[in-house]
Amino acid sequence: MVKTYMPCSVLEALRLKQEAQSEAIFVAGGTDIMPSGRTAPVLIYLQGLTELQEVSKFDGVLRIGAGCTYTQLIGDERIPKILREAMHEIAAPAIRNVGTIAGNICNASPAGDTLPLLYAMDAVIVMGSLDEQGQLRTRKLGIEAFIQGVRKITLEPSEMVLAVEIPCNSYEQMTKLQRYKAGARKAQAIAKLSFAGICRVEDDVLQDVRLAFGAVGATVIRSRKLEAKLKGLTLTELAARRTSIVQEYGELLRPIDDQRSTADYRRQVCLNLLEDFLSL
Amino acid sequence: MIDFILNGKKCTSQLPPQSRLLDVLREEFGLTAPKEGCGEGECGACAVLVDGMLWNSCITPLANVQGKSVLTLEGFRDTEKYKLLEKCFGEAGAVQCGFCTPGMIMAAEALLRKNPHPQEADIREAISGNLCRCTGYNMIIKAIRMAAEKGAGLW
Repeated sequence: MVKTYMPCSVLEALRLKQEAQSEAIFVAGGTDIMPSGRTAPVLIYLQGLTELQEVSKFDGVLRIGAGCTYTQLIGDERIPKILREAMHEIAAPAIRNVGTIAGNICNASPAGDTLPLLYAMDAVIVMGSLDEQGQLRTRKLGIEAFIQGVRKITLEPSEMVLAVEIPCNSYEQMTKLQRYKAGARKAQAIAKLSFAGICRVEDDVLQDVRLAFGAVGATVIRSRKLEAKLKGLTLTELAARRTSIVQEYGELLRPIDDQRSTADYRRQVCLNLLEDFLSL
Repeated sequence: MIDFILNGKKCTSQLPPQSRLLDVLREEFGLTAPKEGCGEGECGACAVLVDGMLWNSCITPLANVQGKSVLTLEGFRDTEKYKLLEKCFGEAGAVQCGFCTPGMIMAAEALLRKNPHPQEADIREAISGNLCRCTGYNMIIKAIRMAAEKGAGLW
């Protein structure tokens, strides 16, 4: 017999989760869990929690509530335009009307459509649980540490995701923001591969650069080591080294053959997108 | 038990909250306009409006409509808007086997409520989650455009 709950507050949701631990799963829009047929002894429905549906921008940090739907965020001008564009390419209106940003993150698919940008923007996941007094306790983890592998995330059985935080300087001061999703068609497509590139060029010098690749490995791939090599290059130096940089990224990507695409196609298109992005 | 408004009337479902809304509508309330095509949110044959927004009822847990207003095609069949959509779908040849039609009509209604004067791109996007294996879509797009043009003031 499945037990179901519809808590009215985050604290109530966390009390339920603390009690049931890994027996319980949270359900928001349900767009991933319903088709999967996955269930659990305890289901906790979160869609009624307006606390989780708020967006705020304060002190240089954009905070997006875990329960914000894609449709809500696409219509919110505080959300970076490029992230809204990525969400606009997710599935179709009926899915975007209920699917949530935290759902996309916690589903932890290598092909998750918001993930390459969230990696490139240094997104931070805010998690909540109850302390000994039953009060809300939060901790934060960068998205790269939060997502550990295919459908694997760092979340204790008593925890839930409350919000995603994006530092505003990871997009506001940037001079080039680019993304691409290769899918079989425009709507309802799961990415064959995806790419996000963000950089800041000042006085002909590459001051900052973030490059993320989706669906070419168990998680989104971003290399701080290679980015560090790129930072500080003049545009002339960058042009001279572009081919070897693209080659180094080629060794990093770990695409596979599956029903959606081939490893060769995925690697080649990612590298083409990278080369295009680095043509500054 | 889950309470919600179904086609304008208060109702309570006796089915468990984890049930698919589609099954509740078809099996418990006998509303057969929403259909099961893919059962995984890909085809839109089960589309209904929830608080005015298009949702796929096949992947909606009943719990998620608690306190909300659900509209199926049956619930607005007697309105002028529906009659116009029906006429335009007929005139444009937008219906062949008819399986996708209720979902297409709900998607058109969701669009026109938000945007009474859509461009073709808006129409294509609005029905991008609805599959039709007969018409090739052009007639459906034409039907929705006709309804928008003839329906001045209705939406």
